[in-house]
Amino acid sequence: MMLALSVAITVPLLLLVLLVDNAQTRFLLLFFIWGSTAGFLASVINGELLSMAGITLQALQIQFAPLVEELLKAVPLAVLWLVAPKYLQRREIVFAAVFAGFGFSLVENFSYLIQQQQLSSAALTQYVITRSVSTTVMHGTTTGIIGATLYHLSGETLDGFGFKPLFVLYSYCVAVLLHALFNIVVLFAVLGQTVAILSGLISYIVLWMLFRTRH
Amino acid sequence: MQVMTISERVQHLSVLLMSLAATALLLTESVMLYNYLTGRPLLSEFGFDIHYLVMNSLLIASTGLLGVAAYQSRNLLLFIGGCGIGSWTLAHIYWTLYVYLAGQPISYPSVAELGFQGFYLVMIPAVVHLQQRASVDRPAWLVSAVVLLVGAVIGTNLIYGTSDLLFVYSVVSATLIGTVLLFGLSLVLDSPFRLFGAGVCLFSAADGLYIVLAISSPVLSVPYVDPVWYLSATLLAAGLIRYQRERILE
Repeated sequence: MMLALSVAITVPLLLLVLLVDNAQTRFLLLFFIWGSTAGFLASVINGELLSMAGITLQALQIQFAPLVEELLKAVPLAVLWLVAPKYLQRREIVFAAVFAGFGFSLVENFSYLIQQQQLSSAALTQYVITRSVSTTVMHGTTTGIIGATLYHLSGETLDGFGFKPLFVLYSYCVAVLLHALFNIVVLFAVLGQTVAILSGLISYIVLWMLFRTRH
Repeated sequence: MQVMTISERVQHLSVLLMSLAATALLLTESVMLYNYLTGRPLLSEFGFDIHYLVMNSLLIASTGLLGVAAYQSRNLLLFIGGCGIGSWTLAHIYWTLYVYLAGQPISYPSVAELGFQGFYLVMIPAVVHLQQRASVDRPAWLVSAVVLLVGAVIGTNLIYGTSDLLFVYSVVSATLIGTVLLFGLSLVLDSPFRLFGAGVCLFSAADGLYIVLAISSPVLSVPYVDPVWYLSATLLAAGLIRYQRERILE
């Protein structure tokens, strides 16, 4: 099912990429496509971890899945860092990273949605809204952190400190940890889910305001 | 060029935070010592709740204060310090939530280690940068601090016959911690950054001790070490804010 979902999202977007003239839009769309592909790959790897490594579903959610998912979402960033670092000097790289996170979240949200067919239409809508303002923001933020770190490292901001690979590793660690923290918070029933939604909404608004005031 | 300074209020708050942490340390350790001597559990259930609340609050406050100070002064070192304590704080909040979710500490090593080690990943560039600014030679014998810590971790692994994964992970962690401890000791001995160095040393020593203990007992809580972490975090914050106010970092 995840493969079908991933194909259903990526093929129309790939066709769209061919039609778009603007290079920046194409760049962002390609990251979004990668995100939705990563969603499929992560589901395969997580499934294998569940069946072969013998770990529990809870352990997967709060420990192993964030490690796998953050790594997969950040693959194009790592490729650019190694192959074409000049792309990292462009501010769009931060948005591109967020787009990868959103693409990932789209596939994940659809897969959960299909599993909840027993819910009524209203309950299903509420479920989707809840996930859209919490999980989507979380996925975008975590990949965005890695993108922002690479953007600042590619400039002169941290030249006085050296040890640049350590900062890259740090950004991955923080992304995984935020993801794992989010996953553990939502396990605390109503309170956890409220915290997840509020933190998602507030962080999105704060980041949006910061962006608007600085640019 | 306009020089950005940290407000006096932020500096006062950093000193207040350090005093609160020192008071909390004294109270917590006294209660635990009393309970230990009278044969009771170190802390009651309610005592643990308060202990974790105080610890996480002080860690969040230290991170927030460094964030505000970094914003006011536009100083990158303060921002990096805030990031380091911030990642450690996130990891500890995760660790605490797991205790409440599962009723016991998460088994070592867990995903929380990424946050705990994240502190050292950004602290290495920070301490090296400060040592270069201080322009002092690092005594050669300080390398023994790293050797001692890594040796203790390898020795404990060998005694308990741990898995290859745990062996590699704990040795890498000990090397990171040992490196920061080495530079921290150097800053304490001969530099204008003694307060910061003391914070770094205490933090690293507590983490080093935790690793050695966790190898033999992976499901581990160390309430008697916890106060050292939050006191060190406040020392680091207060130190960096003071140096920036005194223009030593510019």
